[in-house]
Amino acid sequence: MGFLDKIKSKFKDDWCEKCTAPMRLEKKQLYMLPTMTVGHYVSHDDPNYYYQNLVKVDKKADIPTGFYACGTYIYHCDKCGRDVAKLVVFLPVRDAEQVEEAFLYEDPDLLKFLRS
Amino acid sequence: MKEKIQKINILYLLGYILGPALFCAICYTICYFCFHDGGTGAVMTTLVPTILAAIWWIFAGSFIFKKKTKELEARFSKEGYKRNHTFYGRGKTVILDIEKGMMGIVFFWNPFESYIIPASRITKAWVDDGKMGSGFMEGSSRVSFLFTIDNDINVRVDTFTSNQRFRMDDKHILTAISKADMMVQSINLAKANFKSEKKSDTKSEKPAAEKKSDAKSNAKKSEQKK
Repeated sequence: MGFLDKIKSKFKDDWCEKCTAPMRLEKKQLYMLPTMTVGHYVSHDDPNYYYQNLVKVDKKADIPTGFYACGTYIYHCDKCGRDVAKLVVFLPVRDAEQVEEAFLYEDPDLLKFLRS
Repeated sequence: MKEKIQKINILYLLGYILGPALFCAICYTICYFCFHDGGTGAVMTTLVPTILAAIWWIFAGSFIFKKKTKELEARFSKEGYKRNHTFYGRGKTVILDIEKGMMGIVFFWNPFESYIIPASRITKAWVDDGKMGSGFMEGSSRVSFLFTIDNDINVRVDTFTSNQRFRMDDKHILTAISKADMMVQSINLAKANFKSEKKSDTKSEKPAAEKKSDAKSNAKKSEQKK
C-alpha cells in the first residue's frame, strides 16, 4: 500500500479505509426527507433517523418544492467485504442542489433498508 | 363587498415618524421656557424624551408588528383555518391555508388592519430571484416572491436581502429561491383549492334549492287538492 493510497482512502469516501483500495458502487438511490423543509434543516447523525424517515423517489422532480432530498450510495469493498453507505442530504432548488451534509454509515439495519 | 387591501396607513406612518419628534419638540420648548437654568427639570424635558423617542423609533414598530402578527395568527386559527404556511417576511407576514384556499396578511406600516382573504383574489404570483450582472459578476442581493391582489395591489415579500451580491449558486440564494418557489406554489395551490371548494359548495347547494322548489310545488298541489 502506497502512502498516496492511504491519503486517498482518508479523503475519498469511495475508498476503503482498511484496504486503502477503491470500493465498488453497488447501489445508488434517491430519497425524499418529508420531515424537513427549507429553512427548517436540522442535522441528524443517527442512522435510525434516516432508516425511519427516508421515502424512496424515482427522480428529483418527484420531490415537492422546498423539501429536502437524500442521495444514497452503497459501496462494497471486494477485498475485505466491507459495506459502507454514503448519505448526502441536499435541498433540490430548480436545477441546482444545495448540499447540507454527507454521512458515512456501516449500520447493518440502514444498509439492509437501503438495499431493499 | 370586497375588503380593500391597504399596505400603508399614512396616519400611522406619519405618527410613527413625526409623533416622537413632535413630543421632543414640545418638551424642548418647555425646557427652554421653564428650565432655562438647567437642573432636574431640564434633564427630564430634554434627555428623557430624546431617549424615549429613540427607543420608540428602534423598537416600537417591530414590537407592534409582532404583536399584530400573533393576533392575526390567533384570528386565522379561530376562524377555522389551518396555518399550513406562515411566512414572516421583512415588513409583512403571510399565512396560508392551502386546503381551504385562504390567505392572512398583515403589513408593517398598517399593523392595525390585518386581512384574511380568499386566495382567489390573488391574480398572479411569481418569484423574483433578483439576478443581475453577467459573467463572474452575476449574482443577486435580493430574492422575493410577489403576488398581485385584485389585479391592483402588488405585494413583495423578501425571502433574502443583503447589501452584498451573492453568486446564484450560493447557499443563501438557493435557500431563498427554494422558499420563494415553495410559497408561490402554495399560493397557486390555495387559489386552485378555493375555486374547487367553491364549485363543490355550489354543487351541494343545487339540490337544496331543488328541494325547496319541490317543497313549494308540493305545497301548491296540496292546496289545490284542498
